[in-house]
Amino acid sequence: MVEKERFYKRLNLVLILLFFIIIILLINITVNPTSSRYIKQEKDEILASYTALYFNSDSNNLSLSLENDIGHVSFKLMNYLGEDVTKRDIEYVIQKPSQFYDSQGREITNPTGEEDLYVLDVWGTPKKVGNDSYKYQTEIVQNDGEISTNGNYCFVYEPLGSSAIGKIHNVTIQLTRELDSEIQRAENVSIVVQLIKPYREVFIIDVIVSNQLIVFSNNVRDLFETKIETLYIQSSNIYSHYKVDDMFFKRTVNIDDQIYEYTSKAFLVTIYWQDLLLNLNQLKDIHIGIGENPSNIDITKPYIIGYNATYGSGMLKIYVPQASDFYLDFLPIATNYQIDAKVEVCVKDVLNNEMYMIYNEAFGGYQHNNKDNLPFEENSEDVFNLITK
Amino acid sequence: MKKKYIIVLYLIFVLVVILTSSTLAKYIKVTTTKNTFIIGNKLFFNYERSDLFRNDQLIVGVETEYEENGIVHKRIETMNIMPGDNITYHFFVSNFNDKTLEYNGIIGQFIPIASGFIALPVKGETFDVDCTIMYRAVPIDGSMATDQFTLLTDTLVLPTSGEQKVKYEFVVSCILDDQLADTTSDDYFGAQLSIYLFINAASNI
Repeated sequence: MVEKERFYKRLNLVLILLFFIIIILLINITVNPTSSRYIKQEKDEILASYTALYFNSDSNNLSLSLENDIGHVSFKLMNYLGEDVTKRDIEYVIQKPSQFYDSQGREITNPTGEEDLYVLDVWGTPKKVGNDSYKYQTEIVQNDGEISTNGNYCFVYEPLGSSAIGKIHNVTIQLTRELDSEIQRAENVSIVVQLIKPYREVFIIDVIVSNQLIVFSNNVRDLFETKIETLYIQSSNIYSHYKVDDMFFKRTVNIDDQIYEYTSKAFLVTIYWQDLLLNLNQLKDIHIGIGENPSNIDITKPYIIGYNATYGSGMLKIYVPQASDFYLDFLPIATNYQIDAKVEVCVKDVLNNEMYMIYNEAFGGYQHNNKDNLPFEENSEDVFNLITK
Repeated sequence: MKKKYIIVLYLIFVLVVILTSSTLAKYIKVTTTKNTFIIGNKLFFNYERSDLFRNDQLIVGVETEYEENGIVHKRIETMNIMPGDNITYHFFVSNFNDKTLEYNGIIGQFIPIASGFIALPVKGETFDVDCTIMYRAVPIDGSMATDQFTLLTDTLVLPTSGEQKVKYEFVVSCILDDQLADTTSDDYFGAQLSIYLFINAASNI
C-alpha cells in the first residue's frame, strides 16, 4: 500500500513536470510563431582561359669583347616560341636591375662579384644572373621594334586568325663597365629584359665579357627539339690601338724584352672538334675566303681559309677580323664531345716583320697546351680547350 | 485510478509530441528556387547580363551552357587573360521585366554575391580570387546613369514594382593576383579563372 502511494506521488511529479514543459512550448510558439519566406536565386558563371606569354631570344651566352669599358652585343627578341605567338602586347625595357638578391630572395646591398646574384621575377622567385652584372650599365642603342605610348619598346599584338603575328626586334645593347678597377678575368654579365606588359616578368640573356681581343663562349640551345651546341665568337673593334680619354695609343706587348706591336689584321683561329657535326649551311653566311689574301685588312667579315671534316670530327681555319660577331652550330653525336681552338694574333716586331703568334697569356690571351691527336693534324699543336662534355 | 492516470499520461504524451514537432518545424529551413508560386503574388527580380572588360577594354564573352547532374547551367566564356589582369563584369538587376511582363509583387531584399578561383592544372592547385561588387541605381527609362558606383556591403531593398520600379547596375571586379604564392610563369599554362555569381532574394515576410 505504501509502495502504491509512493508510485502515485512520483507519477504526480512527472505529470507536473510534463505540464511545465507543455507551458514552455506553448509560450515559445506564441512568442516565435512559425514563418515562411519567398526565396529566389539566380546563378551565373564566367569562365576565362589564360593565355601564355611567349617571349624568346635567338641568343644566350653571348661573348663580348670590352674596349674602353664599353662593348656591344646584338641579338633578336621574339614574341613567339615555335608556332606559339603571344596574343597580347609585350612592352619591355632593358636596363641594369636596381636591386640584386641571393638565392633565398634576400637583398644584397654591396655585391663583390664572388657571390651568386639573382633578380626576382613577378612571383618573387629568384632568377640567377651573372655574378658581375652589378658592374655594368645596359642601354639599348639600336632597336627596330615598335614603341609604346609609354615610350618603351613594344611587340604590338596583331591578330592573325585565331593566333597572332609573330614579330622580331633586332636589338643592340651597349654594356658599360662602371667599376674603376681593371677587368682581371672574363666576367659573367646578364642582360635583364624586364617585361612591363602584359605582366611584369624578367628574361635573362647571359654575356661573357672580357677585355681580350677575341672572346669565345658557348651555349646548348634547342633547335626544333634538337640539342645544338653553339659556339659564339666576338672580337674587339680595334686590335692595333686602345683608347684612353679619347686618345688612341698603339697596343704593344713586351715579351722577353722583345717589343711586339699589334696589327689590325685578322686573328687566325683554328677550331678542332670531336664527336660533333658542324652545321655547314652556316658557312655560307660566313665569307668563304679560301684562296684570298689573308692579310687583306679591308675584309670586314670572318673568312674561312681551310676546312676538313669527317663524320664526327673536323677542323676549321678561319680569319677573324676586328668587330666580328658570329656563331657556329654543332650537332653532338655522342654524350661526350669537345672543341679545342688555336688562336693566333698578327703582330710585328721592331723591324716591322709581321708574324702570327699564339695568342697566349703573354699577349693577354688564352693558355694554350700542347695536344696530340687533333683531327687532321699530323703533329701535336698548341690549343686551348673551349668545350669538354 | 490506474486507468485514469494511464489515459492522462497518454494524452499528455500525444500533446508533447505535437507541440515539440511544431516547435522544431520552425527551425527546419525549407527553400525553393521556383520562380512562380501557386498562391498570391510572387517574388521576382530580373537579371540582365551586360559587358565584360579586361583592363578596361571590352572583350568578347561567348554565352554557353553546360549540364551538370541534370541541371543546365549558364556560363560566359572568354579567353586571353593573364596574371595581373583586371576583369570586370557588368550586369543589371531590376524588379520588373517589361518584355516578359513579370513583376515583383512582394517586398523583399536581394544581394549579389561573387566568388572566384584560379585553377592551375600544371600545379594541380586552385587559388581563391577576391571579387568586389560595386553598384549604382540607373534610370529605368534607359537614359544615362550619372550616379557613382558604391561598394556593395549589404542587402538592397527589392520593392514591389507596383510601388516603385527600380533598376541597379552592378560591377563585379576581379583583380587576378600576379603574385600567387609558390607559382611561376609556367604554372599558368592551361590555367582558368572561374567567377561564380549568385543573386539571392528573399521576401520580408
